[in-house]
Amino acid sequence: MNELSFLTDGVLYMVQNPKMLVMWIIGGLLIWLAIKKDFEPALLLPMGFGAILVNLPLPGVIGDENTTGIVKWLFDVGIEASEAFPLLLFVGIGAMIDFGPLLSNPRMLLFGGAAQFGIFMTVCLAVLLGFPLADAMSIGVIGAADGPTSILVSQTMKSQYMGAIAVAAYSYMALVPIIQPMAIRLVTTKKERMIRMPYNPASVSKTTKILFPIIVTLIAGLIAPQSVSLVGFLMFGNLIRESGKLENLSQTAQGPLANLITIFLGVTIAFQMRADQFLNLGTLGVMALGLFAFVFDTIGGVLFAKLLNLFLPKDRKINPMVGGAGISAFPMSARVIQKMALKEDNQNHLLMHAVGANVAGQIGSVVAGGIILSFGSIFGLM
Amino acid sequence: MLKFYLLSVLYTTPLGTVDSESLINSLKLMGLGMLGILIVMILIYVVIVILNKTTKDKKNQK
Repeated sequence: MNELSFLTDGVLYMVQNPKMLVMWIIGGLLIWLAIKKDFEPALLLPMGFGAILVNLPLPGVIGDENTTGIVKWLFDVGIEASEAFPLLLFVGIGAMIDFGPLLSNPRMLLFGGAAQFGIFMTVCLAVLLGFPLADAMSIGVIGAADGPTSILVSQTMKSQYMGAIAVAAYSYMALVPIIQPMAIRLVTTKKERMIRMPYNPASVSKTTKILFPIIVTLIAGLIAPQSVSLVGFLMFGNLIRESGKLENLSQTAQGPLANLITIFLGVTIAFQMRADQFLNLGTLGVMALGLFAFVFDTIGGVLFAKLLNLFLPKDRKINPMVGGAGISAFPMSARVIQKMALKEDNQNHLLMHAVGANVAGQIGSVVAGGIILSFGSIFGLM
Repeated sequence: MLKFYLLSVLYTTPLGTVDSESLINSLKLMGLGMLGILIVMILIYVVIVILNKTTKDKKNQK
């Protein structure tokens, strides 16, 4: 009978490690959210399945002293050794972004900066709650509303909460249509939400569109060198798109490349969702702080717009809701602002302004990630 | 003496200890980080304005 014990070894292991069963439930929940609720399905579904995979008994996909499991190998090569997965995904994202609305209305850039406020507020709060500074800085980046940046920063800072940070970043991104209206209503009046903004975009030449990604990379490289891998890969993808000569490569970056990386990124991140690592009080703290970061990013952008309005003439006032679109969740945030504007006044079309701020938020979030990494190096945390 | 002061533990929570050095660094990060982002964004803004002024398509100018 002893020869047949291999059939029961796994079951016995699970009985001795009930935490793994909890992770199966969490994995199932993520899959349910992805399929039933349409919450960032491209990432949450692989992460959910990955959470189940890495919490199976015995060597499985993780491996042991003698073998290297496939998920561990993917993590070692794709994330730990080089941060290749999130960076390669940035090439695809860069190829997807049209900076046109921002280039024709560049003052929206300011909101892409202001709406990163929640990141830094969250770092302070996380430290006050007792998280080590390196973890606090990684948690704050959830507020960038940018999954790859969150993953890259938490990996570079060697945060033990990387799995929870990735889950929080992608879950809250899916919840933008619920979180943002609530936060915006909290700090605006109906009259402010009804401010109309005429849209008179300046024409943008092809030369500008080509030079923009190159110059932004140079600025990032000179001022925030730690952000250059993030900004550089994002802008490289955009240059492929705007060159007009590499349509096939642009389509490949936007489609097959981004899709391939997305499939494996989710499963790979799940390596950090092993029961012994994931199920702790810190994970709950990360989830709560992630929500805080999203709310205060939105509020930061809105309040900055209100501040600017104090100095602007009456006919050039900014609808403060546009400031809230300065986060990286694109194009969801811009759509939310447009929907809110139409709800208050069915003739108020803010979409193009909000898209400009939203695109600025994509630049702002990677710059914020780079600045966090720079300070991590200054503080001697890396 | 100064180092001792900077590393002094303020209080302990279930998640860890809070020391004054981490707290001061997080506040420094908030101030300088936001300043850094705004400087980068303003620089990019200036670049866009200059690019838009200097590279207008001839067709558009006509």
